[in-house]
Amino acid sequence: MPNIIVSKIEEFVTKIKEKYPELVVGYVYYEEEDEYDIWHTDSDLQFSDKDFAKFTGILIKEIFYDNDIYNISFGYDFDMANSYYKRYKMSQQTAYIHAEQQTQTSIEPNKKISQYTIGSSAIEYSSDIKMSINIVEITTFDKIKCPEDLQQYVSINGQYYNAHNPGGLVA
Amino acid sequence: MGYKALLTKADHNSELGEYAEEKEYFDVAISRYYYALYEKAIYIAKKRNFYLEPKTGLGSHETFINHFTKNVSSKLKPEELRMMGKMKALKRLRVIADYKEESMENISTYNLKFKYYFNSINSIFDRLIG
Repeated sequence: MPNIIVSKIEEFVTKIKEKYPELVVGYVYYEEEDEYDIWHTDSDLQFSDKDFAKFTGILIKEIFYDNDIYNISFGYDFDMANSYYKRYKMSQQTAYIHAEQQTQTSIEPNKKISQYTIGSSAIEYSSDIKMSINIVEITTFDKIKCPEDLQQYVSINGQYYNAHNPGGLVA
Repeated sequence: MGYKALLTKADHNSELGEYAEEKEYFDVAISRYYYALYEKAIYIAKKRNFYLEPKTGLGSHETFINHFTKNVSSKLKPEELRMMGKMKALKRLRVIADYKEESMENISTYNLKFKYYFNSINSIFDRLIG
């Protein structure tokens, strides 16, 4: 992926989240068509909110079109929203813990992760991955073999990475 | 008749899209409605003298849609601008509707994935057609 476009996408997402911090935003790259689809999960914002429509339209013009970048799209994505909310619902039974959260330093063996705090900041945008739901997703202690320090692990598409070294697969 | 024939074709595809939607043949509706949009886009590009014959094969529609967006963006309001890229998402849905095993099974999903975006882009194109 060209870095300039990725950096523009990051800028776009950052500015959206400054105004809509709860909004879940990510992007997918379609290599064959060389297209970036930036998605979010809020249908009400997409279909009913005029301020959101204008705000994101201006951002798209200023960040992408004014820089001659047209191979992007942005909007609510039904499939991504469904996938996200299924994971979110599962989190009520298990846990999502923010990758950089420093409040938990260790996990006791065999203790359910659901006993630990789940913060509203559990969902963060990540520039390192295409499907950029950057969260730690753990069901029970046993799912990760040796997490002495749980918050260092990030789950991306079912694989676990060291949060401070996203390229390093750990499990 | 010239390139105005494209509008006639677009009308025919819209009509079939509407019929398919009534019959709840949502994949057929997606296919016909998408081509109605694409034909309107070609018409607008030809009428405004920025049409370029796209390369054939993979990504040809995306290339054309991006070229189209670039040339009409100055005519669009911000809230309209953000919709243009979604035409490529509609194209991906059209490919699924025409060639893939999965199908669009209910109207709620159809509306959220396709019809809302179709209606928005179609209104923009109708305004540009004038």
